[in-house]
Amino acid sequence: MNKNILFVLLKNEIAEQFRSRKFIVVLVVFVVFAIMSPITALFMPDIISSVSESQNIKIEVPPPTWIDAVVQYVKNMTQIISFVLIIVYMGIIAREKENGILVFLLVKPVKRTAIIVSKYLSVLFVAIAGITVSFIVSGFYTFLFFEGFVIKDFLLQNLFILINIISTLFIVVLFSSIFKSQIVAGILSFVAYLLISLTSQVEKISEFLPSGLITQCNNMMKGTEISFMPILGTLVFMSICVVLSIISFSKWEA
Amino acid sequence: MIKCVNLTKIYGKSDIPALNSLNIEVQKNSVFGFLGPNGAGKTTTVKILTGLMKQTSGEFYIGGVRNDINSVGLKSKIGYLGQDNKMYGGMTAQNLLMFVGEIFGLSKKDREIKAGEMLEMAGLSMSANKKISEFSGGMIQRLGIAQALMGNPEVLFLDEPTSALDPIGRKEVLEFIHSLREKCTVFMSTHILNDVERICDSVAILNKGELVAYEKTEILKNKYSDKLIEIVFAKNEKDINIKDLFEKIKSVEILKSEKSSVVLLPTDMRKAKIDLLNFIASTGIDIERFEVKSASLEDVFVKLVGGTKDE
Repeated sequence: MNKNILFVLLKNEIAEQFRSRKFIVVLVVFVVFAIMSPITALFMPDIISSVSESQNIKIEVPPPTWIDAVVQYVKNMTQIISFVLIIVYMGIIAREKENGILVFLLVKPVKRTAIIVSKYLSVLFVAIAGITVSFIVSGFYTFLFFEGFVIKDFLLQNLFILINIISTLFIVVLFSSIFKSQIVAGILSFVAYLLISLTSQVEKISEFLPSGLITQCNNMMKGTEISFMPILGTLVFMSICVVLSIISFSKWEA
Repeated sequence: MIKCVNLTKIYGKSDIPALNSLNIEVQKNSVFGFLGPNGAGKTTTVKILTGLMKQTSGEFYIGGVRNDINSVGLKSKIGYLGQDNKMYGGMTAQNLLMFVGEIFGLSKKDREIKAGEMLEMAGLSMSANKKISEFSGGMIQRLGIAQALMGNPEVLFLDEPTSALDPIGRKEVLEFIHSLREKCTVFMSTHILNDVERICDSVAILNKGELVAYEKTEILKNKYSDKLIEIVFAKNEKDINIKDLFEKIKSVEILKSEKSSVVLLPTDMRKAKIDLLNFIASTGIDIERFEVKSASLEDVFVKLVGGTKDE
């Protein structure tokens, strides 16, 4: 057996993402929403004024700041992008179970654990690539449009967002490894994502969950103290996802 | 080369085993036909032997080594082509074989040489750089066998390799399988009797999870029925009821009846010939052919499996 089997599988997974154009599509979505965030913040006062004037209502909107751009960016990345990622990756394993491609690998000298880990690493790659590009694009336009933008804080916020997005992707891979239907995997991933997001209302719980990462992003903008506990909690959460996937997949019969 | 000892599979809480205490041994460098109607348990057996499914009880050995689900050692000894042969459609044939070679730990140079050999053997050299999604059914099956041979397997498992193919594709694939005999042991499950008769050295017949016959192909044909009588009726005899007519003759048993022909299994050949010819003469039925013939594998199959269908 090849000792570098994990590398071989990961290389194939990433190549498959390019071949199926999933990677390009996801990257484009990341870029679009990264650009939209500062632009929306910039034009929001004008949009509100024009709407309110047409209704004969006068609304005073303060001039936009970089904080508005970053708030919009955090929302886009952790809500819309997460939703897109669930749809795109809900079949990452389930679809291969459905169409039989997994059998092709399972009859080769490959440990099932390696197959699962390669899937997790491939989504990790997607998340890192997406957030890196988004950070550069959104950071550039926010810097261009607004004064007082602190790039160092934005970098740290992107780290929190990245871990949040990875945790969403790990939930998707987990359900995709447990279920044979990608639709079931997608629905359950979305429900789990919503439930975790709702915990942000309860600080004591969210401090140890991915939802706490968003709270920390917002805290940074408010200038209040930030905690790194959500990172630790999310890492534990993601490890549990990987372990459960491995256990479930090792028992799966083709 | 392959040994199954009391191999049993029961799905979920079912009372009826999908595979019941299978005991077979397959000789090295032979083509073994695993025959049975749909739902007989063939695919279940192949999935257990390839480590895709766990048996409920029993053991199996490949090359003398006991194996189980998830055994990586087993996977390095086998090649497998499934019933529904799915591969990465976006890859080219060359890329797919290079990827498989990489999994087996071959160096880049060795992978290139081996992939070239396999493409040539499968008759796909001209399509090496074509996307798999653009291949015909026959080409996909041949590529499937080629990728299964990339790791120099000791045993090649083929699950219904020709069932989805047109006659030309089927002929190509069967010839390809036949040529593999010297390279490895082939375990081929199928419900197409003609395929088994054409290329298999030995055969096992499975029905409802039970092994009903297991012999060398020729021995099986001789053992279960040495001589049969086939009568083909003239085209103008459209309205005869074969079953009603021939059931009256006690010296024969109807093995298979079709619209214009009947295959009969005699209990006493001499008496059966006299009875049948007298019967035909007395009733005036117009016939085209009256033939005493050796049993084909299909006749044996019908006798063994068809007879148990209604039980």
